[in-house]
Amino acid sequence: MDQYDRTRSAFERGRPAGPVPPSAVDIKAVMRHGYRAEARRRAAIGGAVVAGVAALATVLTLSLNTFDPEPDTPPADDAPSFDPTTAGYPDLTEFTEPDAAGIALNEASREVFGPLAVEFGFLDEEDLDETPPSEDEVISVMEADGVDYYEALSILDYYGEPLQFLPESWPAAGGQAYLRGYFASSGSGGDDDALLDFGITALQPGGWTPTAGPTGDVAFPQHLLDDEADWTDEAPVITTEELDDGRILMTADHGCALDVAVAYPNGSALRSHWNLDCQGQGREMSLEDLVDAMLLMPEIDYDTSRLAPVQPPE
Amino acid sequence: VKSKEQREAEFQSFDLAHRTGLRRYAYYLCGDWYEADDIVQKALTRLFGAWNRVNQEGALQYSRRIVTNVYITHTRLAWVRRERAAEELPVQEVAGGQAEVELRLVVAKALAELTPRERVTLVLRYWEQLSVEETAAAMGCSAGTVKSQTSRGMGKLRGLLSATVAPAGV
Repeated sequence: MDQYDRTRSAFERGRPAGPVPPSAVDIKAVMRHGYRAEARRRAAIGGAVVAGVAALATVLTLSLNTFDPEPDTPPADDAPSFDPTTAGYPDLTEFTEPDAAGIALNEASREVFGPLAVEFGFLDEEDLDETPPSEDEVISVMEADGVDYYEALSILDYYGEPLQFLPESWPAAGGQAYLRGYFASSGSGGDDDALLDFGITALQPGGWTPTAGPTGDVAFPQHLLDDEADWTDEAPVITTEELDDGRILMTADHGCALDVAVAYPNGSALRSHWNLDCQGQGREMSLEDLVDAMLLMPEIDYDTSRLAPVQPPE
Repeated sequence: VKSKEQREAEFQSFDLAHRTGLRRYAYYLCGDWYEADDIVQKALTRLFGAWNRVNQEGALQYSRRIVTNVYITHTRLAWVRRERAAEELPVQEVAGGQAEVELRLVVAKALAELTPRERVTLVLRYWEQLSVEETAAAMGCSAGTVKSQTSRGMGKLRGLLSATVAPAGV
């Protein structure tokens, strides 16, 4: 038995074996709150459509026409013929080739967020010393080991680095579809401390609106920013601004933490949270500092070929 | 469209069949029955809110996914942070022979040292005995990520359990 097998065996035998104590789960409260959550979801969908806060959808479907010098030109082949806010991806992503969107995100992230994170004490300069392997190196591992792009990065020991965006997906619409995106933090693949410091999420088009509301997978479409008390016991102050270039900027000031999100004309978004002083860290980054950095990040082109409308319940 | 009675009856059947398993899974992750109940209560609430849209055959897989997400979100919540600042993560209960008890305590302590995602991966793979694909579905990531998280988590465990899993050990 090798070391791996011994560790696995010890871990399996270390599984808790005691009796399950009586449950404190209140199923009546579960259903009562479930009905409320469903009502909020319906209100969110109605509100997004009626009040026009689904500007993202509008921009997506109309922007080509807006900038089209020849109005009679048919829509581009890749223009969605459905409302992307109520669409999702049917499955998880496999990266059988180098991930161009991820590479672009990571290059920009190091350039933009690296100095910010160092200046305000979230990272040390040496945290960013690690350089990513070359594309040739990654491809060589992918071919040799028959693994996907991110597994190859892991084999090359470049995975979970500070500010490294890694792909994620989130369930949506009762598990009928997924939202896709990427997440970066101070490292270690999102451990407790890293999540407490800062987190940056890049969202691909589909399944969300640039609105504030309860986050998570109850609402569909999902909200871009959480408007509930999270970092403190107080709900944050939310602002939303549509910029001249079509981007939508949203901020949430929690007092000791900041959330900023940017929704792009192509239907993607970038959202980040930064914990300044919720545990007395005394970091002094201003909302303007963060907004400036967020607005420096480029709009990324994502593969939306598998984005499809989510069927309403029968 | 299901009637209110039908929906509630279906959901209560699901709850009856799977609540214990979901609570145990949540407990494996957080090591505390009170927090596990809180996680499951939130997860079931989300599940019920979406019940009319949930594919019944995939309801268990989906509920496991929600428990995973709620657990990871819990690591960010203010009250959890306060609780953790005040005390160490609770260790799991003891039962069985002395060697088994010691092993469980050591494993529980080591598991608490991993990142939430590594913890989820190892618990799903080796305690819940899910396949790589089922684990990926429960975590919302690719099979490749499950493999790399497993490898990373096992590597850390190897160091943390080194005394326990030495060749002459348990």
